[in-house]
Formats: sequence, structure tokens, C-alpha cells
Amino acid sequence: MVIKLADNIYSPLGATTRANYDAVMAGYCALKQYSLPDGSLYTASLFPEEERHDDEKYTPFEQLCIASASDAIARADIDPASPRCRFFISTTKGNVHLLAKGETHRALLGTSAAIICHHFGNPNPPVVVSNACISGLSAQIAAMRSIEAGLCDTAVVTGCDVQSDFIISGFQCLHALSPDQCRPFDRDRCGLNLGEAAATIIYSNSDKGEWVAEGGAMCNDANHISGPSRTGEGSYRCLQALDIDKDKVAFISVHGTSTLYNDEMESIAIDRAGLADVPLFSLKGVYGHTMGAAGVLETILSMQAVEHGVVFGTRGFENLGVSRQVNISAENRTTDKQCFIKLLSGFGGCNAAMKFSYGKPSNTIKPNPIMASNSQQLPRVKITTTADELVDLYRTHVGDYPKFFKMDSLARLGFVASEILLKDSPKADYGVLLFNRSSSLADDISFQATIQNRSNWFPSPALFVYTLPNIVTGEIAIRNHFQTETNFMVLDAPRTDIMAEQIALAALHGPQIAGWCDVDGEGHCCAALVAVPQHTPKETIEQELNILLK
Amino acid sequence: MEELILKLKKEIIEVLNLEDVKPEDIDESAPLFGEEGLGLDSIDALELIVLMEKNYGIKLQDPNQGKEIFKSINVMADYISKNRTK
Repeated sequence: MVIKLADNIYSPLGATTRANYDAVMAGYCALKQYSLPDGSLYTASLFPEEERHDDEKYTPFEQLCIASASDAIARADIDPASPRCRFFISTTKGNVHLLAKGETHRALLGTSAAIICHHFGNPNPPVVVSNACISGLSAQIAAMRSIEAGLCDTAVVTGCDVQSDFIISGFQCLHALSPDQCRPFDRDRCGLNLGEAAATIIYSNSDKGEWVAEGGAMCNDANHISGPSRTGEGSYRCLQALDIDKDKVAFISVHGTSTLYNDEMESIAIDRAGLADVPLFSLKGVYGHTMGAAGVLETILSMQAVEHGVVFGTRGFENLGVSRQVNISAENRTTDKQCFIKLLSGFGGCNAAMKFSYGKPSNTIKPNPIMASNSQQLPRVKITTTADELVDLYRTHVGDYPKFFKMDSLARLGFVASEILLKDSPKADYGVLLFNRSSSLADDISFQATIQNRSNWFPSPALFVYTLPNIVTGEIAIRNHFQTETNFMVLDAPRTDIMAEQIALAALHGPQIAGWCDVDGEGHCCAALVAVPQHTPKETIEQELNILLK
Repeated sequence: MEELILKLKKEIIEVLNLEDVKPEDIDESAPLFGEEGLGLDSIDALELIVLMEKNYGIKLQDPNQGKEIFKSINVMADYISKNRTK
């Protein structure tokens, strides 16, 4: 449980939270139709072309993050240069557009995040949460846990993604984009709209705010890397974990991407959780899917709605088009309830939910410190090899999983390393928390090659689905039927102290398969994984990681 | 047609990373998807749509068309031979 100090939304609809709330209430949206180089049409919520350029110091992605964080920091009146302040950047693709120019270094999420933190003079290494479409909630959960554990007093969580041919062509080749404005939960829905925005929320251990992030949960479907569970398993488990009193909940702010499968999955999960009569809405018909920003942006707008006694309508929705009789809010309506749920799901089978409540917090932050040190040795594995040699490792150590050959090199590396590790580890329903420096760079470069030449424009679906680093956590979850937390964080270097902190925080909630899993742009592979029992202290984890990585 | 079938098998093996599968292992009348045959999944189907356009100039607008066309190698080859533009 942590307190919100301030927030900001910087979107095509406005540069502040208030401007965005007013625009939503006035029924505005910035969705327009565009075309791809192959002539196919898509609809997206984008900043005007003249605002989308690199300036002397910063890329459009960095400019947006800085603009959003600056406004929120000023409102929170905190010192971003304090060592007691941590930054969590939530993004899926950051500066990926630079790959078209062959610039790989600045396309690394950790590089870009370090530039953003340097702008604010923050001395701590930035943590990038890149957990597909649930990144914005995963980052808030990481921030909440870090404050609760006393690692910092304030946490700046900035979510952002900027659209580019890379992302749009990828979703296009998956046939996931609607050419027209999207229609979440409607019977005539035919795909999603993409959007771009930055949003920042600042949490603190003080009692100077009126919004409380009460708790969060992440659960994997362990079903498919790009298709949601037919039973809504992960989302259902997240909702169950939040201990929801439905009579106190104003609404569920759902993912509602407007794809056939997502909306159906969410309706099943919500119905299974006994929440079918709670009003729910999707903001995708206003902003499109803002990816790494979505979890933060939609949380902030939902807070605004509760403060104003409003349940938003779902823009684009008319007739119920899912199998369960869920309570879709079609038009804006009123509420006097002061609690809401934010729900998201994403590629890699990940799902997340958080619970927020408004009103003066009754109790102060409950400390949840990481426990004292012990000297227990943990099962561990290290692999350093080349992408080509991963096949030999697979044949030697696994050999019975043909899907291995479908995976990109990052997923192959994490898969083989986890298989070896789990042979010598106690059986458990492990969470999976991995870190690296290169995100999904090797696969990103391969996918970029399929769209680099306009006259030979054939974006590959099989490559695109692996252009998210957290897919490897999904592959491990699917193989082992792990239906608990899966998460992926990107750092600018293998920082064992930061990794150990975050792993120990995750291990408060359950045992973890965790560590480093990196494939660089040249195909050099390095995995260093540890099987971490529940409640393992940070010092023990750091010691193991230091042995493996130094 | 036999030439096209062999070419198609080789292309599918390459584009779908069907490691350890040789063209002669694929029964051209067996289902490509589901438990039997090659056991391909939804992402493979999307990749086959790209293959059809890239190699044969056939653009499928609706992925659901693939359900019929990708029933087996034989059905696929027949469709390609009738509709190819390159």
C-alpha cells in the first residue's frame, strides 16, 4: 500500500491530467486513419507529425517521458535528484524506430532510460519494466513494493510508447488492427487501434495524498505466447488475489483492446470472479492502445473518474459482443464509490490487476522489509554461448520440445537455462523474473529486416511476436504450467544489487526462477539464473548473482 | 504440380522452422493444423499468409480464408496454382 503524490498524462488530447480528463468527458478522441507503406489502412491516436522529431538531445520517446515526468514531479514537489527517489520506466519498444537507421545503442531501453534519469539528476540506475502490455501495472507494482520495503521514499513511474512502422506493421501482420475506430466489447469489433502517450504517477511513503494503491497481482495464463487464455485464467487469478469487495468497487477499468479474443477473455475472467455486475469500461476507443503507457494512463484517468463521481462510457461500444453478461458501461454515468480495479493482459500470457482507493488513508504504510541475510546456497545455472550453439544445448539437455525451434534466441536461451536449472530445483509454482540489457534486440533486428525495404515489405508475424523480451518468461511458464507472476526488467548493465532487490521483493509473494538472460545484437548469449525460494533475502540472491555474473 | 508441392514443402519447413522435418516426411494430404500432421498453430497460419503473398503474389485479406486454403499441402498447392500472380 502506497500513496499517490501526483500524476500527469501527456497525450494527443492534452499535456496534463486535467486536460485529458476534460477531453474524455467532452467526448473527444485523437483517433485518425493512416496508411502503411503497403497501402493497408489503420487507425491510431498519434501526435502530429511536426511534434515527432529528434531534437539535439532527446528522441521523441525521451521528450515525452521527460515532459510527462517533469509536470508530475513539479506537482508532487519532490526532489528527483534525491538518492531516495527511484525511477521506473514502463515501455515495450522505447526508441525502436532507430533500428531503421541502424542505430542499436540508443534503441536499447536501458540507454534511453539512463538518459531520462540523467535529465532529472537522479543518481540511481533506472529500472525499465518491459512486460508487454501490462508493463504499466508491473512498473507500479515494482514501485509499490520498493517503497514498502524501504528501498526508496518516492517512486516516479513513467509509462510511454511512441508508434512507428516497426510496431504498426507488426500488429498489422498479426491481423490485429482495425482499419476504423475500435469498438471494445461490441459484437462488430474487428481489432485494435494503436496509440501513443506518456503518463507518470508518483508514489510515496508519506501520507500527503488521497489515493492509495492498495495492492497488485500478476499471473500468467501459461497457455500461449500471443493468444489469451480461453478460460481467462491469469486475469481471473489476478482478480481473485486482490480480495475485492464488489459492493465498494465503482468500476473495473479493463484492458478492452477490441480484439475478438481479448475482450472475450476478460468477460470470462470477470464473470468467473463473480464481478459480472460491476460496471466496466475500456478507454481504448479514446486513446487506442498506448502499450507501455496504458497501465499508467488508464489508472490516472480512472482516479479522475472516481474523484468526479463518474464511470466512463466505452467509446465505440453499442451491442454486447462477448459470451458473458458483463456490465459494460456504454455512456458516462455517476458513482459514489471510491475504489476501482485496473485490469490488463499482454503477450507472453501475462496479466495484471491493481486495486486503488480514494480518501484519506486510514493507516500509514505497512513496512514490508526484505528479510535478514542467511547463507543458504541456491540452485543456479550459467550459460554463455552463441545463438547457434543453443541448439546443441537443447539437444543435450532437453530434446523433447519441438516448439523450441520456433523460439527466438532470447526465448531459446531462457528456456534451456530454466530447463537445466529446474532439474536440480525443488518442485514449485515458480514466478519468473528476468533481467537483461538488450531487451529483444536480436529479434528486433531480424523483424526490422522484413520491413526495411519498402519494395520488399513482408513483416513476419513469427518474428514480431518475439519482439517483446517478456515472451521468454511466457515460454517458461507454458512449459512448466507456472500460473503466477511473470515479469521482465531491462537495465543498462547487469546490476546485481538492483536485480537482487527486485527478485527478493517478488520472492515475498512466491518462489522465483530469476536472473539475467541476455542476447545482444551479435548473438552473444548469457544466462545466469537462480531458483529462489519464497522469502529469500536480498543478500543471498545478490551473493549468488555475483558469483554467476562477476 | 509435384514440383510445386515439393517447393512448397521446402518453403514451409524453412519459414516455420520445422527442425528435423524433411519434405518427404510431410504427407501432402494430411492436415497442417491441429493434433495430427504437422501440428501448426495460429502464428504459423499468419506466417503462411505472408508466404503466399511474398512467394506467389496471393494476398489473403481475411485470415479466416486460411482455414480452408491451409487444410493440407495438396489443397494449398491447388489454390496457389489457380491464383498465383508470380
